Amino acid sequence: MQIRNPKDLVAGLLFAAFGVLAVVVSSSYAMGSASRMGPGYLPRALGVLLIAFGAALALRGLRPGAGARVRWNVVPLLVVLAAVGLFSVAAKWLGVVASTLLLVVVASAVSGEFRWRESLISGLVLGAAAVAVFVYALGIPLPVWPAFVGR
Amino acid sequence: MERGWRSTMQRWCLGVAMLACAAAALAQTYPSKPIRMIVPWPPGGGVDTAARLISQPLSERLGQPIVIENRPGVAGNLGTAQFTKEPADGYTLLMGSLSPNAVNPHLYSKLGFDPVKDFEFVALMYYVPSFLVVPANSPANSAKDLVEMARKNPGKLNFGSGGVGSSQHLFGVMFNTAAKIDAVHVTYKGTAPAEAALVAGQIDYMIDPPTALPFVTSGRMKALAVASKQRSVSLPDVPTLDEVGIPGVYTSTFYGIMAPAGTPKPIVDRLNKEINAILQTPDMQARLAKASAQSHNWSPQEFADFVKGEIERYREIVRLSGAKQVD
Amino acid sequence: MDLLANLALGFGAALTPLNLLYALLGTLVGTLIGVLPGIGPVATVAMLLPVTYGLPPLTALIMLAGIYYGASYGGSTTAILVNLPGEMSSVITVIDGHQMARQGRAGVALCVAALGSLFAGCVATMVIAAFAPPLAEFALRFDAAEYFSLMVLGLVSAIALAHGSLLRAVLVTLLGLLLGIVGTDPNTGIARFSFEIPELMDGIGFVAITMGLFAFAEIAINLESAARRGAIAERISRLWIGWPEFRQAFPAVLRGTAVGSILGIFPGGGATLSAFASYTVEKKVAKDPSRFGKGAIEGVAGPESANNAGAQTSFIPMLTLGIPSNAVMALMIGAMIIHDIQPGPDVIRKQPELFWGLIASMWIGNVMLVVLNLPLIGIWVRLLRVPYRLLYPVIVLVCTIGAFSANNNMFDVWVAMAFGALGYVLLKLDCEPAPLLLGYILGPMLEDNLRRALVLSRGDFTVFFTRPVSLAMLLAAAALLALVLAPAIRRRRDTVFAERE
Repeated sequence: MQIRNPKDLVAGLLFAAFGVLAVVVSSSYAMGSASRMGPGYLPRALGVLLIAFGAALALRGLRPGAGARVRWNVVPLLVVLAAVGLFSVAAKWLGVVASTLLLVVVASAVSGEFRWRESLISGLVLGAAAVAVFVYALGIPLPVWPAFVGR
Repeated sequence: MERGWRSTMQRWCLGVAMLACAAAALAQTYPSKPIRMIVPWPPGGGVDTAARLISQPLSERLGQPIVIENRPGVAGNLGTAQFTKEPADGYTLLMGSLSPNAVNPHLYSKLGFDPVKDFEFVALMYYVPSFLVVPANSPANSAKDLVEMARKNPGKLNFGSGGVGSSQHLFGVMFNTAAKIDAVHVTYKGTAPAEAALVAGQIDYMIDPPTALPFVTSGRMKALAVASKQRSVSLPDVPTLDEVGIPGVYTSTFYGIMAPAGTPKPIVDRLNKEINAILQTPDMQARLAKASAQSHNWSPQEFADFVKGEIERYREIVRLSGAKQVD
Repeated sequence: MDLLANLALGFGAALTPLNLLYALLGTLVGTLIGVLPGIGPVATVAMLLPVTYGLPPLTALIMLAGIYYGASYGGSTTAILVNLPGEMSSVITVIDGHQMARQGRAGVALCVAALGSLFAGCVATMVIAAFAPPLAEFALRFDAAEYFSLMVLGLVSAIALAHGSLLRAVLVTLLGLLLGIVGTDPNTGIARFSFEIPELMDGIGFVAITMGLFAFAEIAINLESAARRGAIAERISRLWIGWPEFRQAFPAVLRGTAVGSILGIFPGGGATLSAFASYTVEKKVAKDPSRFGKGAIEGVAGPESANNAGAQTSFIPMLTLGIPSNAVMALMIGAMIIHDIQPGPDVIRKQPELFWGLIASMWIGNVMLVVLNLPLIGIWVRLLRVPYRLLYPVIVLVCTIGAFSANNNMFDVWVAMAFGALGYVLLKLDCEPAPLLLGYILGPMLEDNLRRALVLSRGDFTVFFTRPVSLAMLLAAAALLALVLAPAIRRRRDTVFAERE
């Protein structure tokens, strides 16, 4: 059988999976009584609803209809998230300036029109701006310089 | 032999003298850079307000700015646990309070810090008593009335709190146990919604900190008793629970400055001296009186003993409340 | 007569050069900081609180209120320009506001938001001046059962938000409700879905979710195709609103103001709900609801007015009773205590010039906001001309630091990353993220009030139907649901196949 609408099917299954997760995890929480509803009541109800409606959506995807294919291109997503992740790990010991440079260069890499010089300059300018705005003006507790330099 | 002993002695004396000098020097140069004060709660609210109240006069006296850093999370545990890992150099302080420092050790199995060993107790700022309050239209006009009402209708009355394990919850349990009554606990998300519900008569009573005072003075709530050893300065006509025959319900929500364990004693002493001096100023005393707050001019040791006593006291109260140990 | 005398007293107290200066300063700083995503009104007010210590109490409160308005408006600016809601109430503005920007109408959207807010702010302030005490009494009558029914009504409106498939909207809302539940259960102290991670015990942060769902996911989608990248920069037309647009927007502003003024008085989420409710209203009264989600001006005008009206009337519980209705109000109360003012029902009687001065300053603040922001619109719009390859790393950076700043914890950044991935998948599968946020906001309140209502009624489910206000709201929810479902069912019968081109 050919799947007619993979978008509906995938979305339905995704939500149903969240529902299953909710039911499984909340199975250890007490259901409580009517006068003192337990912490497990709503999560389980929501989980069941997610499974039911998710299944309905998935089934709709199997119905005959014009198939809308999903085109995945996850490279930009992964690179952007990698840039954010790098910053989150580096900020504490490399400081804001260096981590900003890192974030900007990595994130720019997937712009489709990446230029080394431009992104380096942009990174440095933004690093300086981030220090001025976030560290000094707003007092966000992040080091400016790498931990192993000076202090 | 004798000479040797004497020279050792001399050296030892010299050493002590030098140490003392160094310590004195340390206390004299301290603080040489801005001080951070961690508030393990979001901005607004009692602990944050206490920190903001002391930070300005303290920074004037120390000659260095004091930056308040809000690190909220898990009823104050997250910020407190992070705080204990900061360097013990006097440049990171904590605004400690009842919940994270004395109650949570009994509520959370994974606290992330030791409530006694991980701290230098610098100075008590103040503590506040709680009041037994009822809605303005409540039929109860005294604590005795309320207890009778509750005994006639077991399980019918509702008492409110700002959440499971919150101070109002534990105080409520203390009161119910002492008065031997059975009432239903209704939780709200924080003190303010609980107070609104009490004003609206949706719940019957609450043991509430002085945030309830404006409601009492404006006639929206009735204060039937104060849950402390002495009457409150702000409501001198309101009897203590001891006086009306419900003994032993003492509530003191404390706020105090703490430093990470190992902070040099001269620094702790210096901070203690300055904070107490600020608290003794007439302006501050007037403010504290208005909020029904009490300061004590305690030494670091007296403050430490007080906190340790509270930690012990709440072990049993938390058990009685039935609030679960969570991890 | 009394009202006029009181207002005269208020304006007399508020209209000093010093107060005006600080009102201007507050709105300016608030706008500038509010434009930074992740740093919303709460953080901004908290940060600038120490600045106000040395000021007279009224001046301090006027400045803080100015910061609050400015930061709220700044959140809407980023919502329109870069698809990034700065705070809960601007989540809705994203839907049509950013579409308008994509069509080159960013200036018009910003202009409508500013003027709508001004109008709503002025009317709502009038409401406060005239009716604050009785409205506060009315809000007090709301018990847990009423709040639950209000939340149900809000949830139904989430489904009405969707301009695509209803089933998807329901599912996204359900997922949002589930996400809202993560964290320590306030009724038992049990940590739910926290997977032994201490940071999750307080739940998932709003900032982290929006940064991921809106900023990171949107950027990833934009980067996939060159066509979407250049979309904004190339066509920017007018900055100022035209007469036909004004005629379209004005009724929406009126309705939004009414909705916001009413909902704002309910502590805990009233003001947030108002933007959602207004959007639902607009979509329902529109002749052609299909324009919504594609840059309908009413979709910006209504919610923006509602959220500002709500922001004003949310002062009512604090001013009259000393009960903070949101985190900003809690901070204002903290500020009052530091200034040695005991907030509470006594303020209006004992310090009338403070009370009425603050109300007068709301007018002043709203006017300042517009005076300040209309010229800024030109600058904001010019920002969109920056090539996307240079712009998006800036957004990523600012969002990353913004997510960190919510709790000064890198964990929130990681949560934002996870939601970036989820948001990308949802967008790919044609699921809109806005209902997820509504579910997330309403979820905890819904559960909390449901459980409290049942504790208070000792397990009797009929409370929701025997209390008249609660019943009325449930009936309204049912009617709305029928309204939403009816056309969908009809359409499906007619065009089962045509529905998916």
